[in-house]
Amino acid sequence: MAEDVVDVLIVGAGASGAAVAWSLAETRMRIVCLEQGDWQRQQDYPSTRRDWEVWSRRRYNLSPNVRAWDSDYPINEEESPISPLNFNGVGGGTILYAAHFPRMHPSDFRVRTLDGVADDWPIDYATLEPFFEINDRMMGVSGLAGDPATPPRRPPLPPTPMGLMGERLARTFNKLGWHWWPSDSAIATAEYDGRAACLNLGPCTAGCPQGAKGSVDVTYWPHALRAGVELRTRCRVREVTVDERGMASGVVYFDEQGVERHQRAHVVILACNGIGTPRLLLNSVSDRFPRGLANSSDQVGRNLMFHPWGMATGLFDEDLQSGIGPQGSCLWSQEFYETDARRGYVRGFTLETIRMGGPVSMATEGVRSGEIPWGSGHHEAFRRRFNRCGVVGVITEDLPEPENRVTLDPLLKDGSGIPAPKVTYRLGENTRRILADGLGRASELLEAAGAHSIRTEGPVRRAGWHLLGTARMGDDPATSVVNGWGRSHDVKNLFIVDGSVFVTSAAVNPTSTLQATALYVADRIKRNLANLFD
Amino acid sequence: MQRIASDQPFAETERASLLVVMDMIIGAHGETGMPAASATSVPRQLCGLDAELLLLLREELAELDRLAATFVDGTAGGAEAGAFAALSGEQRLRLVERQRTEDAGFLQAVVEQVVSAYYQDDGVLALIGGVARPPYPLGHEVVAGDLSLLEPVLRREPFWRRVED
Repeated sequence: MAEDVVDVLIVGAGASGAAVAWSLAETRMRIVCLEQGDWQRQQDYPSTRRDWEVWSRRRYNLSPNVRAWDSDYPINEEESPISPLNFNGVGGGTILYAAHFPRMHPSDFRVRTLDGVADDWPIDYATLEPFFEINDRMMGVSGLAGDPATPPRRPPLPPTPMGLMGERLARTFNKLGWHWWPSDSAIATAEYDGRAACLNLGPCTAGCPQGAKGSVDVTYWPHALRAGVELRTRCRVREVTVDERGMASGVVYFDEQGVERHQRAHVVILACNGIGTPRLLLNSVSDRFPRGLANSSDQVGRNLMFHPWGMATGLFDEDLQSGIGPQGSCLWSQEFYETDARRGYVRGFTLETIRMGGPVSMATEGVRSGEIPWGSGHHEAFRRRFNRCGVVGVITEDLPEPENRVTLDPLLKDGSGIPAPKVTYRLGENTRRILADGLGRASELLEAAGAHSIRTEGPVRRAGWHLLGTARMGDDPATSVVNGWGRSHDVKNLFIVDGSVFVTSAAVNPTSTLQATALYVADRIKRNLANLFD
Repeated sequence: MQRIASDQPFAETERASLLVVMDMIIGAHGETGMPAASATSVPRQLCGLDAELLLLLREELAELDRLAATFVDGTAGGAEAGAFAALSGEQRLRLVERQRTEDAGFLQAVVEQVVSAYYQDDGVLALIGGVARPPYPLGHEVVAGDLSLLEPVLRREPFWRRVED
């Protein structure tokens, strides 16, 4: 059943889809967004419940393979040491992210030129800078100006509280002579844009019932909807269709009742994340595009980058309230961010001080690992850990490798019968070295802070939050999928705006940069409306 | 998640073994006043688990009783139901220690659910300095922190890597 033609069709209502929808709304074009998930009800989030820790792990698990909602699709991750994590719903990954909000650095866009590996982006930090500023205001970023580790920025809100653990580590960073800074966070630390201020609930990664966390269902979408964008939920897209000229003509999707529909559009924009977007393209096979849509380069699905993540944990004798406060945002250090060849690898890592979960998580993980024994030693071991556990995360830069990729699983399908993605991934040697060094530095920090019983873990399996690189940007159609402003080389009215377009991963959480990129793409679309398909 | 209609989903023999094993996992601690698991709301909470989890627990308890039935004289054929609870304290300890050494997943679901339930008990939370309420809507007080600690960092020259175009 074909529907009338819309001007712009966006697939995916997450971080980048919301940003591009809001930006394009001012054109007054008819814009429709299809989202396979649903709106989330803040009162359903685990933090509203007594059993919040257990409910987070079961109902709001970060892994779609565990969560298994109707809106989820399975992912074959058997050939990856890192499990991809996502969320399908209005807000996408921002519903369950920690809202840690750093920007990429200028050097991250010039990795080939500077370090002789990977590739350069066709755009640079300066190009994105105005869009970073817009995005910080729209998302309500808290932080502090004056960071010497990055180009200047002015977050609109004050930083989240450090807490006693943060203060201890801040003093230790100073003792070691290492950089540190309060994390930029998309968390409203004061009333902002009609949203209430953060209450330090703790589990930001299980949704925010306060609405203080900057998920796009409470930031961009209210504005986009008021400006006339139409958002249809529970609509699962199966494929992008093309016409006889090889232009995208729309998408085939299953509506809320499971009825197959064809939404036609003049422009199609994909915002389905670094696994969902290549999956959709690879599922969009035609005579003209037998290897999947927009894939003449054979790069769709390739160059998958995670941020292999590790962590060091240590125990303190004092109660430092380590389980209280926004879990994923406290302090960061970029002392080891930029390349220093003396370390034996190129690129680098960010250290992130984070907070442990509540008593249930502490106890179950401790018993599982053997650190908290059965029987007579249980209580003493628990007491030594609860609110006394320092955690330092290591987020490593991942280099693109073509054999790290997303393909279509030959057997696995989602609830609508659409082939599911399969992830094939291994850590490269450079990434392994970064991770090892990062864990060493994290341990050094904890030891210098007075912690004992320090242990490290990495790569952590359930840490595939960042899905990047699988429809990369570039000037050369032979080695990239989209051009410098997100337009497919092969299909001139098809755009991609999510983390798929990343050329390099940097060593920071990507949401700020992918939203800035999405806003930049939208801006270029608006500026080139007269000759958009040339 | 389907919930069992009965408020006592465990058979008497299962309950007997469960109460014993949960106190082996988390026993009482006289010095701090921490209660044994069976003396808290843990048994009640476990009865309220969904059908899927209850099945896992009952399977593990059945396996525990099977092991216990052969433990004493090494021969099969003895009555299994309730066999673990019927062992002496020393025998239970030896059996559990042996199994935990040989099988990393031994009683995995029972342990997970007992520990989870224990640290959701109101009395336990009060004793460990936790709060027996949802995080929302009251949230928590967190120390803002002393931003003057940034002074050494602020004295540094900008050190992000420049890109020469």
